[in-house]
Amino acid sequence: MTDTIVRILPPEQGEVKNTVLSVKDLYVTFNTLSGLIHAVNGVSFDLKEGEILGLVGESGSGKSVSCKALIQLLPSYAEIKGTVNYRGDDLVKMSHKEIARYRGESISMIFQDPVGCLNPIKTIFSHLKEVLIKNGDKKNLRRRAKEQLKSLHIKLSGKRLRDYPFQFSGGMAQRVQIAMAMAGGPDILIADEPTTALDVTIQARILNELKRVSRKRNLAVILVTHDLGVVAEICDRVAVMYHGRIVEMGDTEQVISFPRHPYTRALMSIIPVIGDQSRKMTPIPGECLPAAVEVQGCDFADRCDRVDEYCKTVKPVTEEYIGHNYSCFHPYKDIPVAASDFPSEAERFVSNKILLEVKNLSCIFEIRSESGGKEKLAAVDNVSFHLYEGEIFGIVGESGSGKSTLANAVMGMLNPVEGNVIFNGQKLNREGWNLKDYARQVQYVFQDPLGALDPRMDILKQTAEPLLIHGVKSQKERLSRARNMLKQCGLNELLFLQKPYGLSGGQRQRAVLARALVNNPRLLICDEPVSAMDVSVQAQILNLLKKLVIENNVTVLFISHDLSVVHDMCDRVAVMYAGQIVETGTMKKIFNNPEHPYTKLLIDSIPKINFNRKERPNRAIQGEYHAVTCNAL
Amino acid sequence: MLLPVMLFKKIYCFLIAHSYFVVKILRAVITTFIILVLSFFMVRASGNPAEIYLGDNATPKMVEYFNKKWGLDEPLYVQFLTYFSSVISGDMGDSLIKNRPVSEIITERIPATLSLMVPAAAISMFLGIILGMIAALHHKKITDGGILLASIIGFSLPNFFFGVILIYFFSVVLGLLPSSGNDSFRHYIMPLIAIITADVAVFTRFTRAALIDIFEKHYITNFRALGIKEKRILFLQALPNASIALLTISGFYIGSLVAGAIVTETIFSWPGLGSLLIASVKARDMPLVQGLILLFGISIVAANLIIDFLYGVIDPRIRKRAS
Repeated sequence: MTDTIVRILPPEQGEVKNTVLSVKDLYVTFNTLSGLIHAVNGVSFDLKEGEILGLVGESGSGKSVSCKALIQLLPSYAEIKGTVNYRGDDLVKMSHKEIARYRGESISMIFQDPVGCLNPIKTIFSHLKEVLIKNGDKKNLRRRAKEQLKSLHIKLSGKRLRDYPFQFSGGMAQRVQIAMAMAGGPDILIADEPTTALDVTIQARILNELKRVSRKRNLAVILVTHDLGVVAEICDRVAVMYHGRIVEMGDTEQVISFPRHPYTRALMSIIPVIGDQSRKMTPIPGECLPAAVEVQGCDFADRCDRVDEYCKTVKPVTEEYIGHNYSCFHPYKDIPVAASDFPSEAERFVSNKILLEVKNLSCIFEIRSESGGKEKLAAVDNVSFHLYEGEIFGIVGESGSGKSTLANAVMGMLNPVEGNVIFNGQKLNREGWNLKDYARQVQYVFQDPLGALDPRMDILKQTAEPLLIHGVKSQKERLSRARNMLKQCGLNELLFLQKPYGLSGGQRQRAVLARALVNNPRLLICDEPVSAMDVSVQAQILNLLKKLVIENNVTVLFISHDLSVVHDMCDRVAVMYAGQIVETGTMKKIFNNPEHPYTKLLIDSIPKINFNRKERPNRAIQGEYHAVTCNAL
Repeated sequence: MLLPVMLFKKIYCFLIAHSYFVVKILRAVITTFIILVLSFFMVRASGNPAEIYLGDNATPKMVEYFNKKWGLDEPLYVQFLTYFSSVISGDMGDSLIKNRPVSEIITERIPATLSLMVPAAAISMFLGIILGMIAALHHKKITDGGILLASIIGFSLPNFFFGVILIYFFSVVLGLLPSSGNDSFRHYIMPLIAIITADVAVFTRFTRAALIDIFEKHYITNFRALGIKEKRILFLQALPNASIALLTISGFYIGSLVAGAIVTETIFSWPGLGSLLIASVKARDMPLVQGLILLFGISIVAANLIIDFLYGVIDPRIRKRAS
């Protein structure tokens, strides 16, 4: 955890390398009770020695399934067709017993949920022992485990080998996974969203470590991710997947600078570009085509702005272009993505009247210390800030920084130990806390919309419910106000009588927003409202939120771990670290001129897309900061 | 002056550090006390034994003498205190009918029950875990379906019904096996079969469910992706995790074992604790009923205490969180 300098290296222009893996016409079909689901529809790609190939797409695009199909890691009801040629052997035709010999030794895999990928009741050493016994004999296991970690520059003391997975942070658990995956000396590592569940500073390090291992051992990596920024950081080549097909593939620089397929271009447009405040995200309309649905023509036709009748009837074939393949009839030609592509947004009116003021707020919990006594942990430590009316104020920090505890304290769900919350000039304290009246004016939006909605009540009724609680007597009025609000949140009237399970993730969050806003609150607290969503849905919800803020004249306290999302949303931002606000300022100031070293580290850690790669300097991160792990709650 | 303070602090720290176990032991002691109280008062709530022993024609003088002899004329709380203090010192009183110490009568009967229940439990667990494993490995295939069906049948056949059928065929019709007593190995066959058919089914279903759940877990996929052999994954990763779920039902199971003993022992006229309980309740032999309830209660509490300790041993999350 204490590497002093981590360098993010640019992809190297290497000599011609041998192909280790050649995938041709890979089809994966799931035979389910509700019919056949074609998850992968003819994927072909080559993987060269030591190369990092990014596989990008939204959930359900088939990227993860294609990877698991390579080593037959799919359930028995999946049918795999095509050829996967690994050094002359066809992996698809092998029996389960035969393929097991290739796993770990030739092709290894690491997964998204690093702690969940370790057996909770076994020590870290016993995990490493398993792979070491498989790839060698039973002698000197402890020494070999330490050597393995050392050779991968994983700083893990021998003492920690005796610990259990639940005592490990996500980042360390992911390093253990990498060590396990590398024990058999594979040629290929499949990394399935390895950093998605991790904090941004940890993500930067894990990506660097992956890259270093790849360069040092000439390891080919297939990096599955939904984040084009991650691809731009470390991948040599990239393949963009949509609905089980690769729609565009080529050198990362080529694809990112000159995307040809409209989908790639759309994906680019929803990624916030740091340092460019004027740009507005343009969400892709509609939602991802589900894998169970087959269309006659181009899969992307219903969301594409260049679509014509021909697209809807004929599947596009793959066109070749120097080092760059795409399947589209109407590709963009050599037009770089530029800031001018994106319209700038309407100005929000921010008054200079203070709506919410938080003064010296502290939340202290008692936890049991290791020696057996009680210890005090300040999850929020002497925090002060204020919100102007009409403003979107961001609080950013990594997990364990205390941002959610702070939000709970402001909401009144948690009594602060010290300090004051002053709302609209009125001091709220433990005695005079009129929660019901306060709750009408302050609303909360959670990360998980499914958990926030009542599973047995239809959307319309749920949206009308807050009005009933706060004394709107006429049912007719309640329902009509709820209907209007849902419409304003972009929900189709056909969905009003659905239960939450009948809605997609994005639609659920729209319903949650409608329910929060139906009673005209003055302050909206959004706690990671888009963190669990796909990029395209994320962009839609964020844009909706911005629109709603203007239309309903609310002030927003926006909490996120994702600086790029905050960057896109907020007027001002506070950076939290270990329970304290280390820096507050306008968006521009924080991003262009960060003062606190932790803020600098956070901004540096965001995987960025740079439209002009050659001018990009090698960034060096001084890595002394890591968030305190706080499991008190 | 300093020494007692330090000693106190040391003891305090030790208790806090092992709070998981300390709490469990305290809870077990409290539960045992509650069982003692309940068994005492509930037995007394069912009426005065004098009416049964002396019959309807008893004169008030006889009743008075009877009550005085057994201490039944004292106020209830005095009776309880006397009983409580004698139980603590190991004396559970004398049986009203047999005129012998309760502890002696119970001790005589324990071997018969244990010799039936211990093998039954061991065989049930062993077979159940094996069958559950086979079913889980063949999930959604014919083998799995067959085992599941058999376990449903075994589970839903009541012990008393199945026992009677066994006696009818093997003792009455075929005359192969003895229907009552526990004198030879042959006496054990039918009671064992009757108990095991039902109990294997319980363990099969729980093992199967636990393993199927664990096979879906990410760490199993991870080990598969690294090419670890399926056998090693099953025995070294999946089974130890499944044992946590199995421990939970073992707790319930040991409780039901005693209840099962009552039914099975009655059908096969087994001279064990179960049939003793039935006989003593019928005769309203208060000290003996109290003694048996206390014994059954303590055995359930002790079994659960052991299981709680085993949780701590198997699952590091419980152990580490406690310290």
